[in-house]
Amino acid sequence: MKCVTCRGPAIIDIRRHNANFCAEHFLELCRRQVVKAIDDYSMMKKTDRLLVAVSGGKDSLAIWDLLIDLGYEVDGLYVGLGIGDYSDTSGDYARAYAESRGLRLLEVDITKAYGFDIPTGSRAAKRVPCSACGLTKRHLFDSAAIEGGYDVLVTGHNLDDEAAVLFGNTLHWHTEFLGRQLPVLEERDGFPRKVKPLVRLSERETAAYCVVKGIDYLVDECPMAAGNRHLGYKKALNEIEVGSPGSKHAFYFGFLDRASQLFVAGQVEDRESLTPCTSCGAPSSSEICAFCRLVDRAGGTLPSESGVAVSVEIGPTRTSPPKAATDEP
Amino acid sequence: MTPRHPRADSVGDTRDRSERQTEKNPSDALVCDEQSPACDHAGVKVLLRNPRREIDIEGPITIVNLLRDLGLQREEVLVIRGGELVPGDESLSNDDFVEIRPVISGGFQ
Repeated sequence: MKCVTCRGPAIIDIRRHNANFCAEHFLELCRRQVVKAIDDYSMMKKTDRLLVAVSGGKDSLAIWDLLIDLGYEVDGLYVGLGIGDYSDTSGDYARAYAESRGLRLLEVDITKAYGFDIPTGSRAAKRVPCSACGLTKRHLFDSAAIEGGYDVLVTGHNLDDEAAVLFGNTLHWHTEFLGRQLPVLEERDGFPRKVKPLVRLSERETAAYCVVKGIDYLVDECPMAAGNRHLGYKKALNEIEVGSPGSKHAFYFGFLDRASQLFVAGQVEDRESLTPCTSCGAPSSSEICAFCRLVDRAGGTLPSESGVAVSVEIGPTRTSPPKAATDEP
Repeated sequence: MTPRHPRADSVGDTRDRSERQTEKNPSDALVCDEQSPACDHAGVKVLLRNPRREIDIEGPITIVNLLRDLGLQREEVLVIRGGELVPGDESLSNDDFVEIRPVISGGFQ
């Protein structure tokens, strides 16, 4: 195999591009794809202060690394979810990466801060673990970004993630979710601007990026995610991709280009019905937000309006003061 | 390629051999049995994940054929040797040690 750019020995083939790449030009491809995603969807400016949601896995560390290399100012936020050794190990990877690059990492440990963990929370709330986990992370990442005065919250969702979620939402015609499955969610009352710069890279490519860059990440899958529907959708799409390379890209970007706007109207109505949670102040469609209800059912300590309990900070201190939480974009 | 024996301890399977060999799992026919006197352990050492275990595969074998024989999708794994990616057309010899690393991850969003 030869690199499509320099004709040197290739290290990876990417069938949907019908091309092979050497290490140098593969990294260049990854940067180019991220820059294109940022530009195509006007995700952020070089002057923005970014907060990236870090799990210690390949995607979050890859996007943190890519954005730093592209010249952005990016801090990380890791949320300890109390999933036994898995959480301990994933935190180690996040910390090790931040320390190796001299980056600022904030941490929230839900066991210490709110007195519950995901296994307990999912049982108490009768939610599947991935649902309780997703709810917790979304709440804490959103709140931390708002309170920390960050302009943009970055997540490591890749092409496979987005295609699989789209597949599931289409399969069940969850039109209320289709309207917000976009690479950019604009800032609105109580919610930060959220972007997904990895949507043009598959997860094989983000994993390969980490290997080529020598980034250690947590390879093992979360023990609570085994057998979930999302993973099943990914496998189904990969079966299609093998026979027809480029199918996942065509499915997701075809939706963005030609269908996503059809579902946006319902989102406006949803936004108008949000009010502050009477416990923590986060925007909610009911009196008490879903996160506070989860904490309550799990027997934990309800969050207060004083903000997200950041327990640990490593890395350089902030060089510029945070925006007031009420600043307009 | 010469078929090799399943290795019960490495795949977490406690059934007897005759029971396992009736299955059509493509990886079974290629995995060696370190307890068998007929097996000399020679082969490509392969580290698999989730669960973590090691198997021996008879070489030489290309990456494409290795993944096909193990029933793995190219889109779902990377093959890594000595910290570096190994391209699909490369042939592995019996003294190679490779990791087949799954890349699928993630739960509910």
